[in-house]
Amino acid sequence: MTVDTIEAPSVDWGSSAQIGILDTPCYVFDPKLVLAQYSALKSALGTRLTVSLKANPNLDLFVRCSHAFVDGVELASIGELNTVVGRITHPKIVNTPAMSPNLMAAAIASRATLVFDSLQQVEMFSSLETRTPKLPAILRLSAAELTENPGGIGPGDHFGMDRCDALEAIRRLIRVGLRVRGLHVFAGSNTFATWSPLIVESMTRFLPSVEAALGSPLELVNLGGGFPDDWRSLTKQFAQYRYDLEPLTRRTQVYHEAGRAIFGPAGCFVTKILALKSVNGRPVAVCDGGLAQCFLLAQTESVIKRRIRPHVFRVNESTPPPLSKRLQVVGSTCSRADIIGELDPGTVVAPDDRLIFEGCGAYATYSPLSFLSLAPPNHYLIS
Amino acid sequence: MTAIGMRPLALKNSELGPEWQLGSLRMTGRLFRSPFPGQVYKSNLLMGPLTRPHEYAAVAELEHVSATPVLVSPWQRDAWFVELLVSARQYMPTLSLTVFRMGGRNPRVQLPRELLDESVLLAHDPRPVVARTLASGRTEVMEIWQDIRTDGMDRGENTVVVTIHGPRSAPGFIEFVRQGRPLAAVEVRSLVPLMEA
Repeated sequence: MTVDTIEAPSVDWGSSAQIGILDTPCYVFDPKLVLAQYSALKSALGTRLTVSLKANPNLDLFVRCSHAFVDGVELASIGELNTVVGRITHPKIVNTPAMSPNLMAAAIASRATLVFDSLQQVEMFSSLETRTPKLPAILRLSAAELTENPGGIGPGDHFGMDRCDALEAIRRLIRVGLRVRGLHVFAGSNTFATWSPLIVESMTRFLPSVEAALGSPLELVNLGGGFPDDWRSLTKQFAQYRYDLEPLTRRTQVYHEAGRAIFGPAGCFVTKILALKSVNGRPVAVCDGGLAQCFLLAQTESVIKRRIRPHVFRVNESTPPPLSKRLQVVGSTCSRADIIGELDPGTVVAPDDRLIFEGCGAYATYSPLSFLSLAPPNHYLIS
Repeated sequence: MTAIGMRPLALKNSELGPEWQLGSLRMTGRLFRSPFPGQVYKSNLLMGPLTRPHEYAAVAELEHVSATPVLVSPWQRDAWFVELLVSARQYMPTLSLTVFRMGGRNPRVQLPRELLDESVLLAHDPRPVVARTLASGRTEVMEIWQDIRTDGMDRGENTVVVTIHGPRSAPGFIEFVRQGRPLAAVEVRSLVPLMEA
């Protein structure tokens, strides 16, 4: 299957009359879209695909979808381990540079696979006393060092270990009786188009050294992915990538991981307009939710902000004149950065109407929730 | 056994054989979709307060292999039971008692008022209590056995088995299985008469 043969699932959030009765601000997630996204991306890649729970740790959503996540779920905290333990037999993979002894012990007790991020974590493991049998481990490599691009643009982050440390980790883990089954590397969010070819090439080149240290073939490599939520638009890149992957897939089991690409299109954020006003001739809609509940909409980390145009769900039965100017949609905090969208001239809108922001299914929890003691958003699912 | 697909729409009473008139019929099926398609519901499941490794080890013991999807929340399952009950009473006004299988419950989920009615009984295993009730001479008893999953920790295969014990209700039961709106979410696999009452 190729990317261009996979149709993007669609949902018309605004057609649901129920939008008007939801307690706002809120998120609405659609499990069917999550399942469709997962299946489509896995087919497009032709490899195994683990799910990064940090992108959407909602328990109800996980429960509705987990039967499909057969290649495993990646977890980065003890809270995420709480979500998953007891509920799946698929692989649980705990991967964080901030591993504490308690998280490591809880992960082992939960029959999870550990991803070692540093030699220090290897030492932590060696000194742990646990009764539960330990599953073979995975080592996380630094994407920047693996691709010999230290400090450059792209994957110059603080995750993983250098190749020499990885070989040393293998030797140390062999000494304490733990088998290393795989390698993991992740170049960062939205890096698929630019970094994936180099990751594949570098991993393929490093594999013989690893297998020499292990004394056996490596069972798997997880190449991360960094897939954007509009990954379907990368038709040419996917075709080339699958071709590039072939030598590696002949040698070992290849995995990717995804979060944003699976959950992003499967949820929307809904907020209610509390007031309309004009400030210095500029129309503004003040809403009951914004930056505090959907931080990413404020685009605080973007230099050039491309404001989202939400859909308007009419609740107010009045018929005010259409907007004559572009309207700024703002949230409920006292931060001047709390600008979450815009409405174009011609739009009809009034207080109590709901604004629906699509593509908000991933990283909904990435918000400064305690600011002003504002209520957290409600979460809903579609049956 | 009569294989009848998603719904026994074409089933004729004569295909059941003469035994159905004795009054015990059983429908076996499987919930294959949400009974409330498209409905938006609030996310309410809570995680356990786990912090220590031995607690994780204990909860991990609940894990079991299952390809059966969770299609409903605990609240929706109970709401569907209410719909089943209301619909069954419309088709079988002679019903005197309905016994639901209701296993370990989520402690945060309040039972709907309709399931606390005096003509409804909730039991971990309905069979002994139904047998005893029938032995006492009471008839027109509906038994609903189910193992619908509402959480990943639940064992079950979304099976629904509805049995009617009672000659006056049996004709209505066939119509209930054929046309009852709540059973549209159930893939009916069989509808058979039971020899033992």
